[in-house]
Amino acid sequence: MLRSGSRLLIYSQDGFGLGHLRRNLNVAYRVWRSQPDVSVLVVADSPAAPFFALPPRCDFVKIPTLVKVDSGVWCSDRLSLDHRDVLSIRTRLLEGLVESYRPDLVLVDHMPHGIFGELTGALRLMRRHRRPRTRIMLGLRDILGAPAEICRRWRLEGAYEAAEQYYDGVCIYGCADVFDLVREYEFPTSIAAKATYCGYVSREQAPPPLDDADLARMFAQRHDGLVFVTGGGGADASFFMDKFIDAVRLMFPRVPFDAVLSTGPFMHPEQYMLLRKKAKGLPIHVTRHGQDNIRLLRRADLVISMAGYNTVSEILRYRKRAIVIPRSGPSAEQTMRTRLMGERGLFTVVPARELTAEGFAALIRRKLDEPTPGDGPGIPSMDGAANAAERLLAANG
Amino acid sequence: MCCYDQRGLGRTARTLDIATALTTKFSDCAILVLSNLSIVGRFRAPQGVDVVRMPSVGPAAGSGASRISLDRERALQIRRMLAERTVETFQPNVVVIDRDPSHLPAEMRAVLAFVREKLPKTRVVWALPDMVGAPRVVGPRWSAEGVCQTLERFCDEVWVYGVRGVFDQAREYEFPAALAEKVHYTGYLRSASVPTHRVPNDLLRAHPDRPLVLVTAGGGASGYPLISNYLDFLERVNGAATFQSVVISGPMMPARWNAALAERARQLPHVIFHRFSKQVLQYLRHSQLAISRGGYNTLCANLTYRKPAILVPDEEPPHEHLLRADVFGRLRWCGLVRPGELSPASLGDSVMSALAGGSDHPRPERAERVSLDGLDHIGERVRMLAVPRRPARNITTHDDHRLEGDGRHPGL
Repeated sequence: MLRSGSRLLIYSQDGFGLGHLRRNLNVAYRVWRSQPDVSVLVVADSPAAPFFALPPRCDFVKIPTLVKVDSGVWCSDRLSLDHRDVLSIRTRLLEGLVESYRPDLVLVDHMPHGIFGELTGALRLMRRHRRPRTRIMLGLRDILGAPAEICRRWRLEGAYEAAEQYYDGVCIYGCADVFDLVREYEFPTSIAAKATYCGYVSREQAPPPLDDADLARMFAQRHDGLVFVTGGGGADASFFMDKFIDAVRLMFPRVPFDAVLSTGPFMHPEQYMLLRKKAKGLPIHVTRHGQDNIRLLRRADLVISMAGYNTVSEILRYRKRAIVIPRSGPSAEQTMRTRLMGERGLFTVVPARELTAEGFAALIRRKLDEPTPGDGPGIPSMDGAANAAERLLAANG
Repeated sequence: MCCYDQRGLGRTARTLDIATALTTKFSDCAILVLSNLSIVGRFRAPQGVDVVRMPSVGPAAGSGASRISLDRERALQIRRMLAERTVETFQPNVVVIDRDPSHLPAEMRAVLAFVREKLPKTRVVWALPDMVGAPRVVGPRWSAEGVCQTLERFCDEVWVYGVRGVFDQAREYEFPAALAEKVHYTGYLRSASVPTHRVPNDLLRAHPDRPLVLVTAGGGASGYPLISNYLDFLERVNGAATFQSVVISGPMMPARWNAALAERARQLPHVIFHRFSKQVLQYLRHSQLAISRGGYNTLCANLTYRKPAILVPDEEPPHEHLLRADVFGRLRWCGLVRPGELSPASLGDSVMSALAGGSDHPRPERAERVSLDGLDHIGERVRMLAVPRRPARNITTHDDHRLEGDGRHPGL
């Protein structure tokens, strides 16, 4: 246990979505459950932050946003400033935060020294004559990207050195038998020795599934089944959603289900309007705010989604039939995740480029006839948040 | 642009509106908005604008349970650090602060002093809504906190987002002459225009022939009495109302209260209930009557769309809402239900008489002559301030939609 009244600082870099923030808040919630007197400050850069309800005793700071355009290439999200100017603001603010907040515990998400090393100054400040010593932990998602690419970048940017030099431990939010991150990313023994596989982090405090009355308000006439279509943040989800509407159109008027299409807050407003227009006359409800996503997912008979970490965790946790369409780039993360999990038969994987309206329609029909997945041996550990919280709060060392 | 909201979201909302207007006027300008609003991420910042969010400062020690994570002193320290380092690295040409000047004045004084010392070329503006509160409350409060001295000493200009003929702040709050000289009345802020064909989905499915009453409670933190009384009124007429309602409770309303109100609204016919909607202006556009608490932004929307309005202000000092409702009520631009008189019956009477168009029916069209050109005037002020070393008359290049300067991106 940390001493009472301790302070936890979480660095959650997101830029173009909400996935990291969601996972970090799930871990923060578990920290609060284990030790309610810990105060938490999340530093986020997602333009939509905090988006989710914050756990008790948790507040957040948002810093100017940088967006990943390609591997190792970043640009300012909205400001007409050079990314280096934005970076210098971020660096100064991050240093200031460790000085003024004086955290006892720091959890850095997925980038050991931040974008372009923006955390290095803050890390160094914390390691310099600080008493009591700050415990610094690194949190890594199950899969970061293609091993060759990640190793190259980590080497190039000095991420291995940062992980070795500044960190007390590494929490991996995944399972070695799905993806052996330590081996695949060639962690030297110095880092491997302090790494722990915590299992998958999924939704904490999930509200109950939507009930009939909720659905009756969305659909004038109810069908038996419910298909939930989600694209996470939604920035690049319009393609498969468009195809989904085509598929439903093919089935019309004999569509055996209602569908809710949750576009996510980052879908371009025009694309959202187009989808809405296109879905007219079909039993499809299109929404963008996403507040009920988890309730919809829990109620759904079939989930159709991209392969972001959180959605996949929720599909596994609630044992849902699912069709998963991985994002093809810029990183290989989603294709790797779906390949590894698809091989275990946890859901059906369809590459976006192979999607046709006919094939999609047939697949949806077939999936709806399948039995719901049970507690098979293929399901990885889903206790990631609790295990990570325990590891974070463990006595120093 | 720095905006500090206390219980609501009005300052951040209008600051983002102003920032949006400035980016369309000056295409290469960079604006950082520094806000403490917890739900700032729900607003969409336009291209050219990014947000830095500061933590909340909890109530003073001993004032009950709080969900705030940080102790007050530390939160203030972090906020000050964020404000100082942001301006220091961003190097804005202009800083605009929208905040109640008597709220935590020491915090703001420190930041202002820092800006003056480190960035002598940066111009500092303090922005105020059309009216801050009753002069008998504001006067003593401001003099106790030394507000006028602070504004006079550190600010180049004071913008009042209002009209002098409606409320003369410099006179009402007895600004010393040196401060009064710095005041610019910008006019009210016209709300964004929404295309008529954009009808919110749930409204499309609702009854097209019934007149629409829109009830909003701003941020919602203290909106419970208004909405509860309104629902109570509907419950009493028991389905016999000839109109339909859209009720928006506000994202800052405590979840428990909101759930109770939502459940009551669910039981009623012809009521659409939202906690938060990005389509408030669309609803307003299609409404025949708007009921609100008298917040500044809502009032601007009512004026923009010339909607008959009933204001139901609360009693909280410094009585900003009440004063506004009084001033606009006297001008017959809106109806008013006084705080002590709020009941389902009184609210219902006002609604029925406003919808019937009787002699005491509010007439927003009488406000025709009140300026809603605040955004244009703000743009002009920024143009003047952002180019400090040139004589003002040389930079009135209206068709050149770029700010001139020393080659840097102008920032706010």
